[in-house]
Order: sequence, then structure tokens, then C-alpha cells
Amino acid sequence: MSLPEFATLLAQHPNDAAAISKLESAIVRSLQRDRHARFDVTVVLHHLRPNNPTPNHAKQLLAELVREHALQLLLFWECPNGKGPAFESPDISTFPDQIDCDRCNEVHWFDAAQIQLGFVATQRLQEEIAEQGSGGS
Amino acid sequence: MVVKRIGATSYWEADPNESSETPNKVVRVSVRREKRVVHLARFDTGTGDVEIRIDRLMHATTDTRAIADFEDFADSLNPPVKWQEHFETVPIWNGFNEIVRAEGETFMNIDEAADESVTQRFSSSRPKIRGTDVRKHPDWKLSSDDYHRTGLNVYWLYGQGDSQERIFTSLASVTVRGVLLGKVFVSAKVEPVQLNHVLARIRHFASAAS
Repeated sequence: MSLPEFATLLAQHPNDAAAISKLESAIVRSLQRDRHARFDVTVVLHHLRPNNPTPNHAKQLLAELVREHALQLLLFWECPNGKGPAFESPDISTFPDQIDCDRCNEVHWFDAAQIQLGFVATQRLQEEIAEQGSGGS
Repeated sequence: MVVKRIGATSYWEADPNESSETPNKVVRVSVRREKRVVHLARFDTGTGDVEIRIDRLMHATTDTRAIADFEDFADSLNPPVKWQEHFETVPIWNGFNEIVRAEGETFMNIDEAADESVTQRFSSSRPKIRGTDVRKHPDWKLSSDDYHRTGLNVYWLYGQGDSQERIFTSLASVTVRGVLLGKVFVSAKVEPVQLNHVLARIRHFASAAS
């Protein structure tokens, strides 16, 4: 049985049922392993790859999951040395001009080219998955 | 015994009010700032432990600057102390693997370790302490001494429960005038008791492994 947010998507897009169900399985599995997991277009394309999805299709699914309050959009400031994110926020105006990177130990100037979009589970989705895992209804 | 040197120094800092960015032009303005700096040398005459603490200039501190400040301050202790002759380095790097195994008192969002065949890096997809400790990942299997690390970025857990804090440090070795030294970088302002705790734990793991 699908989680409510995914059930809504299935009802709205019956022709896309296979992709939506596959994506739900992948997201649930990831969040059961790590509730702080981060998703993006690349991750969605990877999990849906047997169906040859397009980036636009992946973006649409992510956008709809945000609309259903399953995921929330965050902006990530990626270390330019490739070591991972140095900062995250839903609001670009909160990004500092400089940051001490705790991955590469350098100071980075803000550069819009280093900003990536990502999606994380809402508290609601995390709780639904936790309840599902504990056998709750 | 503590020897403290209080002085003033200058550094360059980005000025966001003067900086600007348009589609065809990016102007980044830095201004010179004056700052009070406090360097200190702590001598524990009971244990023989010595620490040289170099003040950081917020975002302006680079390794090069820190080493230069260290040399300047350490040299100023002579007479009577000649740091190259009178100090014995604590090989903090010997304790890196023990620190990694101390999951109960540390948090890691990045770990890079190598053996003779490969280098592996685990880096959390969330920044700072927002994500899950990388050592909790099911594929992280870097706890054995088959792996070595040349540096370690680790958050130290201090306190319990909701008031627990995580103190970030970057540990590495650095060579100054041919002498191998242990470097502990602390990025945020911390209380003296917290800093002392962190340094004591680093010494502990270094000696436990030696």
C-alpha cells in the first residue's frame, strides 16, 4: 500500500504508475536507511533508468512530491573541491558571502555556480516511513 | 604556566557591501581589517605538556598564515625556550584511527582513508552536522588499521542530551623548518573547557596508539 503522498500521485497520473511506484520504493528504502538522505534529478533518473526517463520527467516527479509535502527543496552550496556540501538552506538570501568549508578546510567565496538543488524528506514523510517500518497503520 | 602575547594584526576580508555581481561583471572587494590577536603557549609543568595556540583571523586564516604566525610566536619564546630543541612533538596522527573508532564521542561527515590499493572517501550529502554520520553508512568499512589517514576532520561531542554540542576540528601534520608538528584547527569560538577537553582527547588517542 502506497504512502498517502504517492497514492495521490498515482491517482493523478495512472499512466505513470510504474515510475511512481518504483520511485516510492527507492525513496522509502533510502529513508529507512538514512532519514537525512538527499535526492535530486540524478538520483531519480538512476532509480527509474530501466524506463529511460527524461530529466524533465524526473523534475516533474520531484516537483509534485514537494507539492504533496513529501519532500522539501533545499539549496546546497557544494565545495568547489568536490568534497561535498558546505551549506544548505531553503532560502538563497541566507547564504553567507564566505564559508569555512569543513570538508576541504579552505575558505570559499559564494559562487552561484556551486549551488545545487536537492530534496530531503519532510518531517511528515519521515514519520510515515517510521510508522510503516514499525508496523503501524 | 601560560605565556600570552596580545597584539594587533591585519588581514583581508570580503566586503559584501562593496562587492557586486552583474551578468557581465563580477567585482569582489576586500578590505583590510585590524584585529586583536592572542597567541598563547601553555606549559603544564606537572605533565610536561606544551601547547602553542595560534589565534585565527576568522575566514582569513590559511595554513600559510597560521604557520607564519606560529613561527613568529614560537621564536619569540626564546630565550629561554627554543621550540625546535626543547619541544617533542605529540604524534597526533598515530591516534587518527582510534579517533575514527571512537564513534561514541565523535561525529564525522567526511572520512577519507587509504590502503595500499585504493583511497576511499565517504562524504555526507548533507552539510556540517545535518546528515548522518558517514560511519553509519552500511558500506563504510574503514575502521581497521589496514587503512591510514593523513588528516582527519571530526566533530567532538561535548555534553549530553539536547545541550550536546559538536566541536569541529581538523587534524593534520605540518612540517615547519623540517620539524613534523601536529596541527589542530578549531573553526569556531569555543569555551576554554571545551577546547581543553578536545585537546585532552586528542592527546589521549595519540598516546593510546603509540
